[in-house]
Amino acid sequence: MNRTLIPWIVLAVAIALPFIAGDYWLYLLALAGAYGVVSVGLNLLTGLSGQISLGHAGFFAIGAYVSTIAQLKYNVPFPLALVLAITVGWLIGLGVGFPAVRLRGLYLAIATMAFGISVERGLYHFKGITGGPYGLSVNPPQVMDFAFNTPSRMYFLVLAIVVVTVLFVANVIKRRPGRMLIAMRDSELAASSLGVNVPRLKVMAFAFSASLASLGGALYAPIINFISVEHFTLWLSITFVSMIVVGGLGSIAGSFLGAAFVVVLPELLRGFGGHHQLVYGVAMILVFVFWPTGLIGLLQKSFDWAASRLLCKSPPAAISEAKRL
Amino acid sequence: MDQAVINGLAEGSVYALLALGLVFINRITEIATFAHGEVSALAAFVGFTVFHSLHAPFAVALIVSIMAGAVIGFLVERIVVRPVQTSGPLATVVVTLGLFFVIHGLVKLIWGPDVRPYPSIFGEGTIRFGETAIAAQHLGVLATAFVIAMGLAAYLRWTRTGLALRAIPQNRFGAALIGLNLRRLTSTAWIVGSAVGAVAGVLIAPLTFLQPNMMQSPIIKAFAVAALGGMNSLVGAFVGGLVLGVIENVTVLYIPTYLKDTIAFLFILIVLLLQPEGLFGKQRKEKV
Amino acid sequence: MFNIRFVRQLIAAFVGVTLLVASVQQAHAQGVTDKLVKIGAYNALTGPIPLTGKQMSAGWNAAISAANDGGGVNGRKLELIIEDDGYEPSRAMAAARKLVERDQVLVMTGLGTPTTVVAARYLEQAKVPLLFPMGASSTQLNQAGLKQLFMAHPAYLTQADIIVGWMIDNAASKKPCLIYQVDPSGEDHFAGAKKAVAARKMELAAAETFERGTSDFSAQVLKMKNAGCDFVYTATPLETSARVVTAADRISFKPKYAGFTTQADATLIKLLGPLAEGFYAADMMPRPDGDDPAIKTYLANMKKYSPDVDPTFFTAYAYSAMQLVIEAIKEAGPQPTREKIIAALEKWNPKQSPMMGPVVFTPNDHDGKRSLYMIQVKGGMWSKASDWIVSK
Repeated sequence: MNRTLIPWIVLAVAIALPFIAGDYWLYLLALAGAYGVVSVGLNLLTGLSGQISLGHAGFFAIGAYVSTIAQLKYNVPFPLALVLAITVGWLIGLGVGFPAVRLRGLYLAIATMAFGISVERGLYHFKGITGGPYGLSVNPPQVMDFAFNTPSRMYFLVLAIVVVTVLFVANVIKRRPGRMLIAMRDSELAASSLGVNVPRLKVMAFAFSASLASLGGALYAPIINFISVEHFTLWLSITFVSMIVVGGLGSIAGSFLGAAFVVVLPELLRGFGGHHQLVYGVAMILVFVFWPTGLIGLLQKSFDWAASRLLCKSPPAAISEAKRL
Repeated sequence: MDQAVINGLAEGSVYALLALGLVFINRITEIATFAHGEVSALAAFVGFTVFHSLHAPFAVALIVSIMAGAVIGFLVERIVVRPVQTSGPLATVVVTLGLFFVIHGLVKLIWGPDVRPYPSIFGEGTIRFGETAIAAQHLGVLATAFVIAMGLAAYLRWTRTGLALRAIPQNRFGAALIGLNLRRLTSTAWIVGSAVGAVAGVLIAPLTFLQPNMMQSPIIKAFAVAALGGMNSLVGAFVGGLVLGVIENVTVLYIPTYLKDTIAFLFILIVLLLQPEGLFGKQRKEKV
Repeated sequence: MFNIRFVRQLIAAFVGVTLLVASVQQAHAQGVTDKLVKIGAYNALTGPIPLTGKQMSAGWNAAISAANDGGGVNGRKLELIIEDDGYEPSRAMAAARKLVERDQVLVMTGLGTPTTVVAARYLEQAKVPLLFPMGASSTQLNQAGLKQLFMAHPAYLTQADIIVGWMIDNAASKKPCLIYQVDPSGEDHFAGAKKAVAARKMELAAAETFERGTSDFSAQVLKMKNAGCDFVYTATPLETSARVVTAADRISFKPKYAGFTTQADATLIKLLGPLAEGFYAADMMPRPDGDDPAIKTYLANMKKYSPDVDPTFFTAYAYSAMQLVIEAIKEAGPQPTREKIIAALEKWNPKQSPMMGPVVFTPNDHDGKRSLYMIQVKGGMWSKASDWIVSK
């Protein structure tokens, strides 16, 4: 009952927002949307398949540059540029995933960190194409003759892509690949004894997650209007990880909550000096110590509590936990 | 070329020193703490306050730093790590990452963004061997890293506590069964590891100047070095650091200098691909 | 089946949230009221260069407080709102939007190169003047023909061109080299250095690079020594120059050094001690140890309003830049608008600024300060080494 209604309510609010919120908030929300897409991908990799990546800023950068260069230098139309970004992300994700399969835990973290840093240096090194530190201007995306050149139009574009992404990922999770991923997370040995091709699945998870990160990057570029090497640092990769942790590992909604948290928090804390890092850190710790399910878990618990109060009934606790995935 | 090798040993010894505490903690508790760099920085800052505001002699400040490191390590383990110890490796990664933000933010809050010079125990001199030169400080770091690596290895090998510490990662349940106090021993591991981190902080601060961001680059290299050497090997961290430093500095003679970090990481990647457990790491059996 | 009461609660919640968001939108105030003029600034108070951010804030605030104490501008007080962007471009955009859309500031200023590039594009669209931000590379901005942007800091390309050229012409350098940071400002220094050597039919013997956050320069100085450099242009932050010099000294590599405006600072001498002797730098403002009354007032105001921050190049720049902003607002008359401010600025041909010397803006050229003079450390103190040099 309540569960199925929520996504519709959220969507309704999201669509209504541009009519009441100013450009400033629309900019932030569009940014959160782009980050959210990356976050969902990373969550698939880490929350579901248990592989850590400290290099997702690399895929993010690849998506941003591929789509921007395609549009700028080769006059590729925006929708095609997006597809191109996703494809290139997928391929490079495969490339990174193959060797990554052999590593786990910290070694994987270092390897992915190395990847991210190499992409950053590569962007600098190949300045001829990427503009290097001077960066590239990004024009507003255009579909046919319609240009997304205002914050509210950009917001709707991002919203549309986010909705499509969410539906797609939710579908994947429900089907066999998703089930296999979850089985693999819980116990690789058990999963493989049941016939799951663990290494192949891991590589697929990497590729999928990379393509989503690239999609996020392709969205990010027009939101900021400009991209350069300086945007895609190790720090950004670490920020992506903090998004999924705080938002909720393994949860799609959590990924977006985490992204929104990271984007909006520094803005809300503007009166308190630049101490948002402290708050991130405390949040990350508290979340894992007290609420391993992240912000989304917190939200769901409070929702259940509120619903039980409103309806004077006790919520079926077992079901809400099981449905979390 | 010789100078490049010396430069490499010098730079590598810094990585090694920072990696040692990290590896020690990981060896015993199987937790890779992303907050290690910040703990070291915090200890160095505490020492600075003791030296600067309380006008204590530098030797005293040094000892206070090490003690501060030990205390911080104890607190970290108690408050942040212990609750999530059993929640899986991802939990500890995330929590230590969170701690990284928290400590960094705290340092910035308390000491501000200023960049301050830090006194060096080994002085500011240069030691020359014929055509090549090395800063006295770097030689000092190298020697300290070596002594600590050997010391910790000996501690683990030949003392009773060391033996007990080594038992924990091998078989937690069995260790508890034979009466080892797991909690106390885990605490000890963190205390010792963080104290070593404090030493690293105090020795690195003169090189990077004392500032909140001082450990952000070194810690990444330290992690890479730790992985290179095999996360559980103290000798590995020491040798790995030196090897990485030399490789970086020698290859950079022939390629643009901004690729130095990339080379470092590519090298590590290649090593890890060939030897997923690092140069000196031991094969880990996965428990069912 | 769902409970009608529940649905009503949900609708109520939705309406409540909407009202909340809408009410939050009401937090507007005018950029210019009868009593107040608002100025906005994006600054890097967290992130990789927080010390620079702190110094900029100190300089800006000192200038604003001094002006307010002197009665303000045309009967109005000035309010400076500084927002942190952590040196991240996406947050600089957020900061600029917040200042313009929610605080409705009259004009903006700021710090940083990648941040300024992003903010400048937005402010151009929003038609808000961006006055004298610190940093920013010439190629990206000065050639972009932005109407709202006015620069008062000599572009890095210009500086490099002047400095490297001068060292070749006046300090007998035959094998010039440079060391620069891998970022847009560094690229510009590199381009300027190349321009200077090309104009003299020479080549750079070495062009070394490093990432921000590097503290070990042994590799770079070794390569420069091997290349036989007799002069190194340190296109680096001040602390970095100090480390480069120390590292070079260690391997007995003793070239001449010249740095750009950020190194024209007593801190360099403090950090290097005797090794600083002979170091050249370019300065864009009169020396703080001089007799200039404007400088004395600046130092007094810094002591009064920002006593916990030592005066450095950045505080001096911020202070004098903010003075220029205030001057522009004054010239826009009793009812200042953004257009009037721009019109006033474009007539500054030249304008004598109390601390920066002549500043020139025309409708087609907003690159206001192209003159520098060289100084050198002699006997442990900076002393003048040349007259004003103007670039074309």
